[in-house]
Amino acid sequence: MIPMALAISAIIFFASRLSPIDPLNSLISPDAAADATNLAILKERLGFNDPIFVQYFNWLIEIFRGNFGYSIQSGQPISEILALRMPATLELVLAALIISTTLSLLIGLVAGANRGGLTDKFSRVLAAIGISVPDFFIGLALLNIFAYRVSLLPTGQRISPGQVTFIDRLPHLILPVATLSIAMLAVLIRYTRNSVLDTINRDFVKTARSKGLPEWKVMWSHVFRNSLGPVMVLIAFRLPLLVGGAVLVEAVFQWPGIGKTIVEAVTVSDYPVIMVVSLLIAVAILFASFLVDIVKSILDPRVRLGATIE
Amino acid sequence: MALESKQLNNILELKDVNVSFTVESSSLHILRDVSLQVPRGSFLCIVGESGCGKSVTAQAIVQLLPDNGRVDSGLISYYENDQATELNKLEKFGREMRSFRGAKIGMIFQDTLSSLNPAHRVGRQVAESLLQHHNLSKDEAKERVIELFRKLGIPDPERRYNAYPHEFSGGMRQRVMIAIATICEPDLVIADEPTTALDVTIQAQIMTLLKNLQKSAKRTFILITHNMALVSEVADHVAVMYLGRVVEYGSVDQVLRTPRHPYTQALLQSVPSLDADKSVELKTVDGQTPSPAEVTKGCEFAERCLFATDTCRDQIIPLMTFQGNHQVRCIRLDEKGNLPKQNKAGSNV
Amino acid sequence: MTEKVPSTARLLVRNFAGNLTGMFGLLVIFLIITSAIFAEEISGYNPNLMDGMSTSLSPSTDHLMGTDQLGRDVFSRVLYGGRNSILIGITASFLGNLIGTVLGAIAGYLGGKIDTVLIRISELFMTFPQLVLVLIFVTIMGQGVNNVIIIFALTGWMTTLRLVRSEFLSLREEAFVEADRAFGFSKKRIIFRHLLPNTMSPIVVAFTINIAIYIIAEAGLSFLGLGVPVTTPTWGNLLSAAQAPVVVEQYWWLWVFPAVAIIAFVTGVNFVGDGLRDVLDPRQRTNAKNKTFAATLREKLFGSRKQTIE
Repeated sequence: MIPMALAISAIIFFASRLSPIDPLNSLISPDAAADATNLAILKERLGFNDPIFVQYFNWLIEIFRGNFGYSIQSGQPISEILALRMPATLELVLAALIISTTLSLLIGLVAGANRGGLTDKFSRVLAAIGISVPDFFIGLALLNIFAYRVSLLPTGQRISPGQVTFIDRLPHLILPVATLSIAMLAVLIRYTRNSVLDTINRDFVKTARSKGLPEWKVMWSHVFRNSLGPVMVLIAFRLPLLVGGAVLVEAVFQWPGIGKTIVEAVTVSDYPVIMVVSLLIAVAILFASFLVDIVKSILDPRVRLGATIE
Repeated sequence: MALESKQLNNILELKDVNVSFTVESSSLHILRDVSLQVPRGSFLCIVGESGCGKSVTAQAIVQLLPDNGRVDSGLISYYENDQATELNKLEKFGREMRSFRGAKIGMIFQDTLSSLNPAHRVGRQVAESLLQHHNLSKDEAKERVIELFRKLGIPDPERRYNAYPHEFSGGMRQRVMIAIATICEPDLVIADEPTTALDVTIQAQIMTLLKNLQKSAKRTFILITHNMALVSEVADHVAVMYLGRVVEYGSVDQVLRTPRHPYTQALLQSVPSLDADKSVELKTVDGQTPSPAEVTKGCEFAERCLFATDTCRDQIIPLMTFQGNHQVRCIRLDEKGNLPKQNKAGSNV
Repeated sequence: MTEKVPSTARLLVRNFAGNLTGMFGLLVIFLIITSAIFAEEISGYNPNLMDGMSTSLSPSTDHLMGTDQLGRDVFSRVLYGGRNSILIGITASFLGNLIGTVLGAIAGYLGGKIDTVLIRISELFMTFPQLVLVLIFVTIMGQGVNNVIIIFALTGWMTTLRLVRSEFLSLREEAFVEADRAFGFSKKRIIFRHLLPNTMSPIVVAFTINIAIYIIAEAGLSFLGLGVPVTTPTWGNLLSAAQAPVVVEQYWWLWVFPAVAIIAFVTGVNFVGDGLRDVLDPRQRTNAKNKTFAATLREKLFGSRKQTIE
């Protein structure tokens, strides 16, 4: 995980040097950059005449110190922007992850256990939707129906004026989270269902039944648990797509999160912001897949460290 | 229902059981009119080539056939005290059927690595059965499991209780399987090729273990195997199956010493034995086992049989009973149960 | 071998013709592409003709899909947009698969360090949400049809690499390759004349399905206003009208019809991909019966992913 994170930071850093924008701008505030002589002195002092690898390590050290640089567009320290926007995206992605995972595991289990049944058919339809319908279109449709036609839910934003508590904000979360969840659900349900079907035919399920266990117990403690491993891998695999989906969903719902930040930054070529935000996203995803690996090893003792050495 | 005295002697009876499987929307008739009597406290071996339906018979008894298989007709009766239960009339996953599985009928499967849940500790997998059928606390169950592990020769049972299946050797895993099957002290244990995946020395250990379990608790065992050598060591009753039918049934002496059915005779001649004359060549059963899809009306073995006549192929073959309930499905036998002198097929006597 | 090819091809065509969903998908694709080609004849309007007298009209017999705020005919724009979107999808998928196939062939055949390096790089790329990766490239390269195609190709080769690599790894051990090596054929010859033709089936399937993925990606990117410049109509650009809340609320025809076009085309492509897989890859056929193509594809990708993780 750490070597991957380092490699990613290197790629982002060197990619940023391909941009036509002076990297110096990313380290100092725009006011200070206005004066040409000042700039030359700063360039020397800040080490921009050093070899590029030295520069890279200096940049990395600054990042570790929490100095992410400044936005060219607003002159704001990037750390401030992150502090403001991060929670919004985390809220969105985590809620969608939890909801879609729980729902898809439950529905997938039912669909797999009752193959060909109503739930199974429903999951098939949902999977077809998830693959051929763009997420943001689902968002637009939900917005049109639930916010405009039936004025049930807010039309966007994370918060309305005068709202303070989380409960106040909850209605704002519903549509974006639903949009993001549907996309994730579609794939997960189908995958869980297939994984459950694979597991049901395994011999140990016959053993469990031969003990006289009731079917719900066979399903729950034997089939379900053993189907989870592959599903966990899929969730880890889909995390980037979830974050990618969040970028679009934030655009649809004017959700003030990281996704919106990066889109705004790309629109005006605000390089420092793009660099830091994409680094952050990559590291977050790496960390999340690391967590998924841990969960997976808890579910399947065979992949646990030490067990494989034996 | 009052039972006849003869039935009281049997713990399980199969009468004309037919099982078919649906494969790619066509139906395969896998078990044909299978009838078996399993005397209480006996050790019955069901033998036959792979694909003859012996495993399916076992699965049909406990209603654990694969999803595409079902019992079409026949009776599977379990006798307990003076009560008879038609197992195949019970709901597959209903409470009543489940009260038989594990508690009254224990199952031992062949491939222990795939038959044990890789994600659960072995102790838990054994205790699960106990907790299902008895009102015990988890600690009490654990104690009982460890006690059984010790009895079954699993070293260091306290520590092994918390191990995972993949941390065990094949022989140890089979002991765990046996523990699962016997922890609730069922009256009947069905072992489906329990030693096939094991090497010879371990095989012998496991068979001794099974035989002891049967004798000491006066339990009934059904062992499904293709290994004739094993049969002679442990069985007291033998059923020989060929292509979904029981072709011969009797005590171990009757079947192994005086085999009546041409198939049984051929099967026995193909078994190597240590004290046999080395110059005598081992015989193989000639011909191919036909696929269950191609069915003849008459005797399934006729195509490979040295004694077959046209009647064998055209007529439904009844089960003939000879002295001492020795049953043989062959019409070429005379009243004493002897086959005609070696003659080629077609030439009538 | 060469003599056999036409008869095999004919056999494949016949098999595909017997695949109902596949043929249906092909019909949908054919209809959409044909009407995109004859856009003006079919719609009767120039897509860029602004009619100040008829702005923001809802669908009617004159304008089947209504008009936009500048009075342009939406039906005509959807058909024209299809030209560009489909072109982008097909070209990007072709290029992306080309990169993935070449790298995958190298990794799978040569193995060793090159393989490790390529797999690591693909993992690095896969850590990013594709959309974020695309955004980074857009910042460096700028917008435009060609750039979008190149960027899609550069960010979407990883799955093909894994696919081809795992096929190669298994093929490499087969007898006919051993024989080639024994004959002393050059590596290049073995790869391009013997191994690649045997890997074509999954590549063709991946190519088809990637077209669908890229068309949806283009829609997302252009919806954000960061894809193809608005002067060139694409389905995504048409959808980006919905960035304005008033469009979401009142002018539903502006975003529903382009989305329907996308969904129809993508579903068609997916059906064809599904059918192709059934015909080309008989190994997958039996167990794929109850799976959606996506589940199967993902499993295929997963297979190779798992290998690298464990």
